[in-house]
This record gives sequence, C-alpha cells and structure tokens, in this order.
Amino acid sequence: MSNAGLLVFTGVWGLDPTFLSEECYNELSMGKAIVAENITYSYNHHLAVDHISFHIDEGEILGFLGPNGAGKTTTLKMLIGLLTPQDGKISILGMDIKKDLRKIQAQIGVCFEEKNLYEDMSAIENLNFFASLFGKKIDAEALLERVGLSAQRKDRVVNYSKGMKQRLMIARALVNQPKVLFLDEPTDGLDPVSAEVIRKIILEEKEKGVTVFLTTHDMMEADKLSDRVAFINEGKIVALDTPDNLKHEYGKRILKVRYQKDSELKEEELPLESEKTPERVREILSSYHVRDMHTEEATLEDIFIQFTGRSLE
Amino acid sequence: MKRVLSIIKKDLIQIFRNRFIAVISFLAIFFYALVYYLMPSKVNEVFKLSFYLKVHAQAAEQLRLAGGKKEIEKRLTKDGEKGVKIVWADSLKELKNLVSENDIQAGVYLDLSSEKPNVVLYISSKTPVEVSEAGEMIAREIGYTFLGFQLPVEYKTTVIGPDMVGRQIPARDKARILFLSFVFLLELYGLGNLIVEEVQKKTAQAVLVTPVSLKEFITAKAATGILMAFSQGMLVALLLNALSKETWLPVTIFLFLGASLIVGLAFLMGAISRDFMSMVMISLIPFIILTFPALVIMDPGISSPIIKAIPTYYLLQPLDGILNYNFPFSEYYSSLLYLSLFCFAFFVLGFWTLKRKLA
Repeated sequence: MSNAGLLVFTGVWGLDPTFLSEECYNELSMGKAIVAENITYSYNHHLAVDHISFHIDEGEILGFLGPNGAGKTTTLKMLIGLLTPQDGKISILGMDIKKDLRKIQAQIGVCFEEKNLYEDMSAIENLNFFASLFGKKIDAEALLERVGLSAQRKDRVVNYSKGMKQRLMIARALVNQPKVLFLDEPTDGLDPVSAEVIRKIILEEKEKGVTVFLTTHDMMEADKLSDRVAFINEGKIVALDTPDNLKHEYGKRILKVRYQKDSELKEEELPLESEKTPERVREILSSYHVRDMHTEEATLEDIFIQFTGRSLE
Repeated sequence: MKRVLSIIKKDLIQIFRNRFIAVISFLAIFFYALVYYLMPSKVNEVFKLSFYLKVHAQAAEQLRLAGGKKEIEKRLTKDGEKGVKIVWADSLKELKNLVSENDIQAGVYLDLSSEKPNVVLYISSKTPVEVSEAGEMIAREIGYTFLGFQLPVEYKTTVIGPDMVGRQIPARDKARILFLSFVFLLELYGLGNLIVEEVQKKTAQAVLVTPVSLKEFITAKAATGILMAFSQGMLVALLLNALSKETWLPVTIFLFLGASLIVGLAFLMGAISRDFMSMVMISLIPFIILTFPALVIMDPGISSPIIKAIPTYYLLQPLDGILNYNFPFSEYYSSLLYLSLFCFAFFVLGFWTLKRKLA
C-alpha cells in the first residue's frame, strides 16, 4: 500500500495515523493539494470532527458528503484556517497550516454557505475590495461576466436574488486565482440556472488544474462533479472513493421489468449479477407483454444509507 | 498596511451608505450647531427689582429734599453696578402685578409710615432660589439704609475656588460639552453596529480567510472608529467655536483620547452583542453613565462624588474648564493621565473581547 493509500486507509478505518513520522508525513504531502491527518475538533463536549484523515490530489475535486451536523463545515473551517484543529495536522499545497497560514490563505478561495457579502456595496466594489486584500488588481468586469452578473455589476448586493448572491460568492472566491477552492454547499437552494452556472465554473476551474474541496448534501451534484467522494457521518469519514467504485462495490445493479399479466401491471426487480436472471427475463418476454425494461444502478444516496443507516436530508 | 487601508476604505463606504449611521453621525452634528446658534449667546445678569415706598409726610419731604427717587436709585447702584434695574410701582397692587406677571425678579415693599418700619419682599414662584436669596439680602440692606442706620456687622466675602462672579457662562457654551459627549456616544453605536454586522453577517469570516490577520482586521476597525469619532468631534468643536489659538491643542488631545475611549467601548459592546438591537439595549447603560458628567456640567447641582469614577469626567470636565473658563491646559494634566489610563484599559479590554469573539 502506498503512503497516500495508507493515510486514507487509517482515516477511513479509524486507526491512529500518528505513528507516521514527520518525514513520512512530508512525503505524503508531496503532490497533494490538501493533506489532513487525524484532525479533530469539538465544540464544548460535542465531538464534531473525530480524528479524520484524507488527502486531495492537485486538480482533483473531492465531494465531501454528509447530512447537516455531520462535521462538513467544521472540517472546511479547519482547512481554511478559521478553526485550529485540536489534534492532527493539515497541509495545504505542501505548507503546514499552523506555520504558513497567511501564505496558504493567499492561494485559496473560499465560498461560504452563508451569503457573507457586503450588501451595501456593489458587486464590483465587493470584488475589488477582496482583490485588494490579496494585493491584486483584477478585471472585475470579466469575472462578473463569467458568472453572468455583468449587467448588475453596479447594483448594490442587497437587491440581488439568492442565486445572484451565490454567483457573486463564487466570483469572490476566484479573485485571487486560487490554486485550491473550498466550496461549502455552493448550489444549495438555488434555481437550476444559477446552479448550472456554478457547476460549469467548478468544472472550468478543475480544467485549469485547481483543486476543489466541495461540501454538499446533494448526492446528484457530487456524483456529477466529484472525482472522489467522502462520506462523513457523526464526525467520521465512513467511506472515501470514486463514485463509480462506491457504486460498484456497495451498490446492487438491478434490471427493472414492468409487464402486463392479465389485466394487471406487474413489476419485478432482477439482480444483474444473479445466474437466474437471464432465464427469468426470457420467461417474461415469452409469456407476457413487456411494458418497459431497464437497468438501475444504486445511487450515492443508497450507498450512504447503507453506511450510516440515515439519509442526507 | 495596504490591507488595513483597504478595510478602512471599505468601512467608510459602508458607514456613509448606512442611512441610520449617516443620520446619527453627521446630520446630528448640524443639528447641534443649529441649536447652539439659536441659544442666547449672553447671560442676562441684570437683577430687576421693583419698589413701592409707603412713607409719612415728613419722610416724603425729607426724600424730596434729598433728591427723591433718583437719589434712591443712585444709592442702590452706588458702586456703579449695572446689574440692578429698578422699576417703581405706584401701589402695592401694582408691585405685586409686576412681580407675578412681568419679568421682575423681586418686589420690595418699604413701609416707613409707622413707628415700626416694615420691609416685605415679594418673590415670584418662578424665581430661582439663589435669586430670591439675593433679593432678600438686597431688601434687608435697603431697609437698613432707609431706616437711617446700619447693622454693626462688617460684611466680607471670600471666594473659595475659581471665582465665577462676573464670569457667567451662557447656556449654549455649556451645551457644547453636552454636544461633544453626544457625538462620541452616538459614535459608539456607529462603530458598534459596524462590528456587530461584520460578526452577525459573517463578513468578518470572509475577510479572515484572505491574507488579512485578525490583528490587521481589528486595527483597521480601531482606526476607522477613531477617525470617525475624532473627525466628528473636531467638526463639532469647529462649528461650535471651540477651536481657537489657545484651545486647539488641548481640545485636539482630549478629543483624540475621547475617540480612543469610545472605540475600546464600541469593541466591547459590539463583541458582546448578538445583533444591532441587542447592542443598542446593552449600550444604553454605559451611554447614560458616560453622559452624566456632561449633565453635571450643565447643572452642577446634581454632582456626586461618584462622578470621578466615570471615564468621561476626565474628558468633559477639562474641556469645560478650557473652553468655558479659559483655564490653562496645565490645570488638567492629571485629568489627561486618568483619561489615558481609562483609554488604555477600555482599549485592551475591547480588543481582547473582540479578538475572542472573532477567533
């Protein structure tokens, strides 16, 4: 097993990876945009994040999935330096977050779940202000054009719709041309058009080599966008792999057949891997009038329920 | 430094776009100036007395020979004092009417017609106590004068502390100190609101995930607060004639320290409040306490020893002395020291509380 694999393995199975030496840890961080090792955070006596470990390769999108209160946002806050892990280590772009926080923050972009924009200011003023904090001069108009807000660039944000605010949040996260993007529920509760604009931008950024840490409880979105997904539940990562691997490994592929028997519409689900399925299909085809027949894969939601016994909502 | 300046610039944009803050910050200043110029600029120190003399024929002849009423007026204002104005009444009824319906502060009825002379002082219910006491003394003295003999008592007056005789301060000049305290205390709401909004709307989080450190963020807020409070204080001082060749230096120093004091307090209020309304409610208590020294300056009668424990006492009392009584700056070095200590304590406490809240 590679070192990276070892790190993920230890995190997923709840083993203590603190036995890793500094050298080994540094080696693990090479080529990884984000390495979180054994990170922990508790609010008073509530353990929100419980010794989790994972890494994200450069240019990869990791979907971090879990229901409300699972520990997604706390993990994100530790990764962006708003919370200090009470245990464990975080490395972003090869830099230790405890030692080089400012350097790291200069190279990351964050889109929060809350619409924390300066609402008395216009979109262009918001972007120029944040760019100035990074010491950068930007073409704010081009950035707003990209998120479809160029017509409203001089309007005060207070008059924006939820979707417009969210698109501006994404634009703000991009003002410093970040190498790592942290997106907390970026499409939550948005209209389909705004959600699609944001998904398109996330994929464009990935094309440019930007690493994306995406927290969401929308399984469909995670499936569409993520190279890998991590399931977090009650502060622990319970699964971490590509969506395809998870579906293949944990999902049941079935063939769904609906046919007319006498005057009644019947429905049958046949497991694709079963030896008896071909014979049963032949039997149905020859004996009844088949209304429709199609295969169905397990969704990430189904797999999440398998792992945790609860849904994402 | 560039990041701090960017935040200050952004804060100023926000402040001037928030109607509530704009109203309490700047329109109030012009309201103070308007009130100041509408208030009388001089103190009416003329003591208006009315007399009605009831004398027998012999005494009347003596008075006529002695120069009559003109002579009496001359004798009453013998030291050339212009502070006493005498109005003669032709009857006791007229005397009473003058006191009750006009702005005559006291009426003296001198009955010299009998063996036992009688002096009665009439005072309006609207007449202040100190004026009625003065009237009583004048009445006694006049009585003795007309009776032809003096009491065998030597009067001597010794003034302890600054002698304010002849240095009465117009109410509008006293009100300058009250207006200055309002400027600072309303700025408490302005800056407090800015901080509460940053925390409540989580915009502070958005700033703190950029290369801006917590220290830079709070420094920018402190600079914005001091800039706002100090510039408004100076503007009020300018509009209300408080800046002159002699006063500009101490006024500038005290206003700067006052602005710093308010910033520390605003940090504290902003950090412990959940939203704007709770901040307004929580700030009400310090607002009332900190205004108290200004009220004492307006009405010294309500003073209390506890006033010296209120930080703004060391800001407003020197400003009153320097602006209204022309006392030298050197008289208030100890106040400067106490105010600086209060500033430091509030600033450290506010900074620490806000840092904890944001962290």
